[in-house]
Amino acid sequence: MYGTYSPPLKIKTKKLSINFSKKGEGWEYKRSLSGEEKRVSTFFSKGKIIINPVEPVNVPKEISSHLLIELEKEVVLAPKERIKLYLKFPIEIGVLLSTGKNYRVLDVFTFTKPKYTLYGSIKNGIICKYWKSDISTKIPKVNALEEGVIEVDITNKSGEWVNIVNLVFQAHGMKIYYNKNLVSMKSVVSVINDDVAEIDFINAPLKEDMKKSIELYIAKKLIPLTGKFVMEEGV
Amino acid sequence: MLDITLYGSVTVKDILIVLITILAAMTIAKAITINMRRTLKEKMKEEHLEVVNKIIYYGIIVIAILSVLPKLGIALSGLLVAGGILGIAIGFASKSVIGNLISGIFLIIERPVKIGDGVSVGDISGVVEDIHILSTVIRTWDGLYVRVPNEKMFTSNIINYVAHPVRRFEYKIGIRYQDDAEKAVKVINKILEAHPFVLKNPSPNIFVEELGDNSVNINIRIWTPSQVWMKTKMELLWKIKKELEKNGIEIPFQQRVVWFANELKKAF
Repeated sequence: MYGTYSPPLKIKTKKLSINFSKKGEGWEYKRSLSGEEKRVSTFFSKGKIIINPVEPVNVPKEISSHLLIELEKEVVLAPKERIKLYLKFPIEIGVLLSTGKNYRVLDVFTFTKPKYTLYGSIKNGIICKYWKSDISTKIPKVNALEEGVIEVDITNKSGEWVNIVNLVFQAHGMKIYYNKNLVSMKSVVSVINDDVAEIDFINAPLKEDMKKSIELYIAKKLIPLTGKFVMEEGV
Repeated sequence: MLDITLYGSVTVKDILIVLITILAAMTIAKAITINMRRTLKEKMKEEHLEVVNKIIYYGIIVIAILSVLPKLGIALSGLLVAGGILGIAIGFASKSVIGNLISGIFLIIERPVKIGDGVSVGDISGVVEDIHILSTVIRTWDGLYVRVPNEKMFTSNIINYVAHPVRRFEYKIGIRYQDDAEKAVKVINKILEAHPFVLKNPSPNIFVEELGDNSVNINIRIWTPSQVWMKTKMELLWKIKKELEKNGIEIPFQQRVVWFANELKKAF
């Protein structure tokens, strides 16, 4: 489903239907997913439609720019130990109208059930999109429309044993790559101690022949803030 | 004509230069702030953008005025001395204005409210539209413009509904005595699990709070992101009611058992 299309466009799966058709002088975008419907009427003379995975923090409402992944099992790291793990993250799919380097976001939807959580204290914490993931040392098999795979290269920089239960990722820095079967991100986690960890992204695909997504923070032309996030309320 | 002396060594030409400079500064300041608002609208928080814009706007005008004062024959050093004396006089004459001004400065430093926050100040509730140096503008929930003097803002109890990232609300739901309270708790829990804005952490609490006169009362405490708490609160209650009914659990009417001292005759 991911890719670049010229209108008109019709995509139909068991749960999803996307229809981008001519209506009068303009175009009408119609999307229906599990009973929920979205319509956008638009007029444009040239442009293409891009459907690709975007930062998973937009649906149902853009109230957070962080994703918290809770690990199914606690990861325990010895002092100075370094491991590479693969986690799953929820996918949100963006439909964008593109003319060269300019994009307009038409729609964002997801096949997953969104949930939010608080990271940190009630006074100073941050709202995060929530996802629970099992841990894998190899790239797990996933449904590329529902879940992506994030590689986390974790280093325990402290001289103590550390436990990792949650990881918080900043949407501004997400570098998403995709192909037909896989959506991926790569990140580096430096654990300073049990309470503090630094998380950043690497702009690289997990496999060859993967294409870079147009992330919404670029499409909306927001200031490219650093994608680095420092977890200060425990890992 | 331009060389006509008005007072001291100040000529008509000087006055014109001063006026043109101030007008030009105002135009430039306006142009810069409009441009900044357009460019940074999506990139900065509204409250920060407003503060930056105000600093730039008034900064440019103040610099322009200070730079042309010598043209009017006013020396800046003399102005400072005169300003001190004038300040005391104005201070006595305009106590409330100064009070509002100082309160405004403290409000800006302490920042109990920001532009866009939902607040309650005394008996006024609404959204903070703007924070000026002398007053704060609040748009009430029903769309009225209210100007609150900063002195009142500073001395009143301020409730900021969105100061913290999360907020809790609660429902009390009564079910019949013959209904299974444990089942009701499970049904409610399932609805809360499915709702995106009912936070995973802090998790919701559902418990039997009271064996009431007419019903077994269940208390539901839910944490949601502050921005969406009202929407979530409005959505959930009816969903819970419908789901309980679908599972055969009913919310009872008020009832009273009446015992008669003398047993009623069967025929009656």
